[in-house]
Amino acid sequence: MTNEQLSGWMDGEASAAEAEQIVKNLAGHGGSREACKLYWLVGDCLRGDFPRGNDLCDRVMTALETEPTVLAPIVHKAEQKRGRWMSLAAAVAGMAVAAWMGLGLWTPPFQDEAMGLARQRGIQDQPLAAAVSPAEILPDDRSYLMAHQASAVGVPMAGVAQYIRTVNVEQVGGAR
Amino acid sequence: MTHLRMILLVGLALAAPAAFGDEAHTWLLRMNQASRSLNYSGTFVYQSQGRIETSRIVHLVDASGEHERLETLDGPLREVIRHNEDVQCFLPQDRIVVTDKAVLGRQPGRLITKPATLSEFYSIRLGVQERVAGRDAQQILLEPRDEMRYGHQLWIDVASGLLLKATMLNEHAGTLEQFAFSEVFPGGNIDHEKLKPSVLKTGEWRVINARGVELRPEDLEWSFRKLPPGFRGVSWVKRSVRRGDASTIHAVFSDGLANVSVFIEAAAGSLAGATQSGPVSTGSTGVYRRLVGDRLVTVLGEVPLGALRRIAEGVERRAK
Repeated sequence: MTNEQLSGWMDGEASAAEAEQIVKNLAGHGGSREACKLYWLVGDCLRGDFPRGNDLCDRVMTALETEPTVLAPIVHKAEQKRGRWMSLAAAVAGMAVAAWMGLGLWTPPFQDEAMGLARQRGIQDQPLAAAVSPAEILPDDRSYLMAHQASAVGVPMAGVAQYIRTVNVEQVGGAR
Repeated sequence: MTHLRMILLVGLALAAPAAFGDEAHTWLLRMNQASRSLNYSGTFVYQSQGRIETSRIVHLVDASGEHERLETLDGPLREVIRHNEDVQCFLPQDRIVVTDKAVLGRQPGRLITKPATLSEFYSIRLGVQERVAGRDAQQILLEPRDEMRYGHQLWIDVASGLLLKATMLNEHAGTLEQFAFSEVFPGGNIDHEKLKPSVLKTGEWRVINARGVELRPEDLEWSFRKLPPGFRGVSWVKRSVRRGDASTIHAVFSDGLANVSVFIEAAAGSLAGATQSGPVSTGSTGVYRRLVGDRLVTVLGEVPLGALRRIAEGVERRAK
């Protein structure tokens, strides 16, 4: 495994097969793991995720400032460049809503026409436009909890646990 | 970026020992990178207060961004399909689908939580190396520096950087909740078919929009004067929480690990007498309520009750 391959993988440029092989190689190659650490740290410094004043970051930024500017087309890898914690936290929001829906708080589907239920056929093929408010069918305190979980951010460490927590709450609610 | 990294790698190699003096921080950064950039699939178990829930997750990153599918394996099927910030939640049993925008998609700049910042409020250090889900894992310990937050233990996959296991601990080092992969496959190719909902999406479904209306904090008539150290606002929306009231203000505060929600709404009808405080039986999440004039303030989050009380007592209407 070359450093070019390693860096390409970290930039999301490796194929699935290459990525799998690189991950396997990393497991048994301490030198590559150290290189990874450096790459990641360099990336953090470049994005400003590490504060200036950190010795290494200062060296990185100084090195950058002395590098010649290269004018070249920008390759967009938009979603991979988003902020830290995005993946887990976004997933958190998604699952929280799922749990919100799974609380057993709902009236049976189509039972109350007066609630303005949106009916759609082939939902995958049509815009999801007509909707009713969750508040209309979330009658008790658990709706606060679900709204909280759906809005949770910056939970990088226990992120997965965050949205599973809401599923767990469903069991509490269902027992009531 | 590739060539730049190469140049910097050579130039900085000698600086590595000093740079990694705090190895625990590096593990957290690596975990963070892995969670958003790696393909992976797996099954994990969540435990809290004697209850257990098993779920399966698939995560794929391609040119269009992130794709994710999550399904519960116990009880009625629930599925979540996410493409970047667009979320659809399927409840096939009730033929309901919920649409939402992941809150982070609207606030990309507010998500960064640096280990250096976290370390102001948590003591972060390396733990042991042990096996989790059949893989070598590095344990990271985050111990709160005050009584305003809970502790965390993380186990990070040595090979991939993925989070394999996490526990939240109360002030007596008792486990409030635990998540752990029982099986995980980082890297590799994931078939897009695995990211599609398994339910048959024909016939009639009820669609519910769970999105709120985003607010600017400066437009709020309320101030939050007693936030614990390190907590800052990350989200302000107006949303429906109760039937017939679409004007509840929902503010979210975070220290980077723990989240606290503050709901402010009219204390009318059945809410008028709802001023009791105390935890609810949801494992790690507590609730504290307080009446402020004609408004009911509900504070809820994964922090000790003392922190909830402090936040609630600091909610005040701004002087005009």
